[in-house]
Amino acid sequence: MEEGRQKDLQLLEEIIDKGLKQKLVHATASRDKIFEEQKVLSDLRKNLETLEKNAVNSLKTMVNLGSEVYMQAEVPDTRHIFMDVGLGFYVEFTRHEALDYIAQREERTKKQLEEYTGVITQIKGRIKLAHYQIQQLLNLPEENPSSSRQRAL
Amino acid sequence: MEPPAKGTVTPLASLFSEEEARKAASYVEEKIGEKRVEMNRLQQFVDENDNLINLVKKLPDQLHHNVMVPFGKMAFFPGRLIHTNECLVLLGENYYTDRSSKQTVDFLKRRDKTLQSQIHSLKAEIEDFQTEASFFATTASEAAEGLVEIREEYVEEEDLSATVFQSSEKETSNISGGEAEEGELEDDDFARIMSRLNELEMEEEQEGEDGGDRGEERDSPIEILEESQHDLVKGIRGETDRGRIEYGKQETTISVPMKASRHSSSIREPRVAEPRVKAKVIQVLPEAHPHKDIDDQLNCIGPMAQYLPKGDQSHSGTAQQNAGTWRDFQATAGISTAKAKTNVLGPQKIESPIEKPEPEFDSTKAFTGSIVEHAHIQETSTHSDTQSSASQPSKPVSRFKAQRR
Amino acid sequence: MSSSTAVRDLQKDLENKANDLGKIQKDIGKNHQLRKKYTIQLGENELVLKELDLLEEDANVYKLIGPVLVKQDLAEANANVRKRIEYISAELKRLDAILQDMEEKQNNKRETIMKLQQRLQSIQAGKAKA
Repeated sequence: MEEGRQKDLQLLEEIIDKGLKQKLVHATASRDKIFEEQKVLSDLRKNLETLEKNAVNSLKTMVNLGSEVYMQAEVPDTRHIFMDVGLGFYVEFTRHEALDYIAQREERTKKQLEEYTGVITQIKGRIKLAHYQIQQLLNLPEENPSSSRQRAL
Repeated sequence: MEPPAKGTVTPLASLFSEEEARKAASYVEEKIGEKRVEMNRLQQFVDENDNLINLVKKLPDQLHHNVMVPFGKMAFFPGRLIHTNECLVLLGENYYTDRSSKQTVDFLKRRDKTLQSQIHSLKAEIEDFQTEASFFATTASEAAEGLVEIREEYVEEEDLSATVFQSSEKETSNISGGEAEEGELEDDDFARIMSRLNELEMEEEQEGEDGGDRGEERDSPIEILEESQHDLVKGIRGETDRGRIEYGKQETTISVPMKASRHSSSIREPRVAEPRVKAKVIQVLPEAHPHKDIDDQLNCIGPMAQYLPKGDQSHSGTAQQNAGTWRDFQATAGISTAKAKTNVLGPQKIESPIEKPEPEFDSTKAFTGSIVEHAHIQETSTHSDTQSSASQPSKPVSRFKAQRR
Repeated sequence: MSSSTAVRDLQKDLENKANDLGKIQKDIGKNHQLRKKYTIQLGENELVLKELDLLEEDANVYKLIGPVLVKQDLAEANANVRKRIEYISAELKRLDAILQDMEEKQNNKRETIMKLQQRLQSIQAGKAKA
């Protein structure tokens, strides 16, 4: 009995440290990435909307050459924009097409975010459960039902 | 020939547990890792800077360049760079200024210089840590092997080291008799005083040369005494002929009265044990620098500046500069002797709280020989008293002669 | 009986002192961090000042305030940076003074703790004998 309890404890600790915690770190990192993407998209959308609203068809801007050195650049025609669609491909859109595309992307990132949030909550729940079981094992070692329940999990 | 009861045998492990040494070693390794990351980051900046210099140089060749102008992180507009000879440059602290291409290149080159010096000092720091790490590792393994430290009190008719030293002493002792106040100073007393005089001399010169710097960097005069004392001990221990001869030369200019030396000892005595914590960093520096700081006081400041907290270091120009010279020197002198050196350093550091003061302050125990039984370091076993014992059989003669003529 | 209450008092005292020491050490740590921050800022400001000194009189200088670049007079910018450097240096000096003070306090606390521990030990040793 005693031996089995030790084994259970070890197993639970392993599950927490090696499995769940690493998964949690991974999922959180992925979610942060998506948050970032969401912000970029919404910024871009706002900027394009401003251009549209003010009927700006050409603009001057500064380009960062690297290490915080900027140079002036002019854009003769802002009605066409190239957007990164992933995997290194850029697609030429008109402003309206771009805004549509951004809306779709935003929809998708929102779904992804929800998904990841779900995964993260699940992992956290499992960790809590494992902790609870460890406590049970330590506090009520003589109770057979609890220990068998642990094994089942 | 010595009654065995006179010495003491202390296992190294009891002074410095193996586990602790290992812990310290891994801690230092961690630090090295951090510094490496920092250095890679800086190196990246440098590369970026280099690319940018080339780019800014080339841009004014044409009136405009067709580029994709970034618009946010995911979108671009087709457009072109105009005013290719004008750049807006960040100076830092949110200050920007308009510069021509040429001026920008100059600015970037200055920035490159700053980065390089930062990398330089970082490299020196890493090497510092590496020496420290290898020292800890050696100490750990020595403690594990059951290394013991044997210490004996000095008695006149002592063995190997003392006899050689005495013969060299006799030449000088009659000359020195007049100058020494007590007249009948023992030989060891004489050597002790000489070393004290050297210290004072070093102090004077250091204070003279970098008084200003030190005013800010050193907290108290006592600390200065300690620092120079360490340097001196290092200097004395220096193993090259050059170091020693230079030493002799300096002694010829000694004019500090004996009383001063007494006085200084009384200041220092109560604090003898305390500075050892600080001494840690110093000891870890290989003895590469003493040679330098003896014949070149400027360089002396370099290694000393390294003892300062790291934060200060990166901002003091001399520290960086000298860290460099020290490092270069170490590169040439250090590698071949590295193994022997760490062995010397190992036991010496541990003993220092008790042993170092002895040759300097306690006349009855002036020549405590410390013999470490260890297969491959036997020849350096009397390390901590090099100025007075075996490892220096012939040099003292020339040294003491030099100072009289 | 009286000795046991004395021991208890001593232990309580010791605990308080240890807490105080911990607080001081935390403050010292904070001080170090703050100092590091200021030292870095000082270095950056000094670099800026050096560059500003190299600029010609009629050069355009801007300061980024929030998302906007605001044009500034060179002399004004120069004065501002100088003031900033002065401020940081003063701040660093102040931090130094505080640090010294705290270190002194820390050492005093350590000593008192040592003494308390010794007294506690001697009392307990006496009890063990008796």
